[in-house]
Amino acid sequence: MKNKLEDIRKEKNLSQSQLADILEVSRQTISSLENGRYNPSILLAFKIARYFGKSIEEIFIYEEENND
Amino acid sequence: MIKRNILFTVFGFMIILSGFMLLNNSALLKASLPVAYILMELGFGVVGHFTGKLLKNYLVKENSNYAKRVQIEQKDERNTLILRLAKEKAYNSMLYVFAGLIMLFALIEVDTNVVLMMSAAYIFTLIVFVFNFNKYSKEL
Repeated sequence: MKNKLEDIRKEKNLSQSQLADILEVSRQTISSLENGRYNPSILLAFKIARYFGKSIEEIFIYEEENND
Repeated sequence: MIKRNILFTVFGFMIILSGFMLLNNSALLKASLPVAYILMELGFGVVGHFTGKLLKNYLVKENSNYAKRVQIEQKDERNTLILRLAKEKAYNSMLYVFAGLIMLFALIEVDTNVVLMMSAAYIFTLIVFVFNFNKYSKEL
C-alpha cells in the first residue's frame, strides 16, 4: 500500500516527531509509514485521515497484490 | 504505591540478610545450603524488581514528558506488532529446539524422568497454543 503521508505532513509544516506526538505513536512508526515499510491499522489510518481532514483513500492508496 | 515499593525493597533486603545468616550458620541451624542460596536469589530478585519500580516512579515524577513518551512507546502499534512477530519466531524456533533436545536426551539415555518432564513441558506448550487458538477463533 502506498501513501501520501509525507507530502501531506510537509504541506502542514510538521516534523515526523510533531506528527507522532499528535497521533500518539512513535516517530519510527511515522517514518516506516512514509517509507511504505509498515501499513497502519484501520484505527491509525482513521486517526491520520481525521487529523488532516481527508478521507483514508486520499492518503492511502490500495494496490492489488500481484501473485503471478 | 511508593510506600508499597519501599516496603517490598526492605522486605527483599531482609530475605537477602536471612539468606546470608543461613549460609553462615547452616550447620548450626541444620538447614541445607540450597535453601540459603534460594533465599538470597529470591531477595536479590525482589530488591531488583522494586528498586527498578522506585527509580521508574522517580523519573516519571521528575519528567512528565518522559512518562508520556514511555507510554506512547509501549502502546505504539508498530512496536506491539514487532513484539508479536518476534515472539512468534521465538515460539516456532523453540518447538524445533525442544523437540531436538528431547530426542537427543532420549538417544544419550539421560534419566527417563528428565525426558518425561521435558516432554510434558513440550506438550503443555502445545496445549496452551491449541487452547488459545480455539479461544481466539471464537472471539474474533
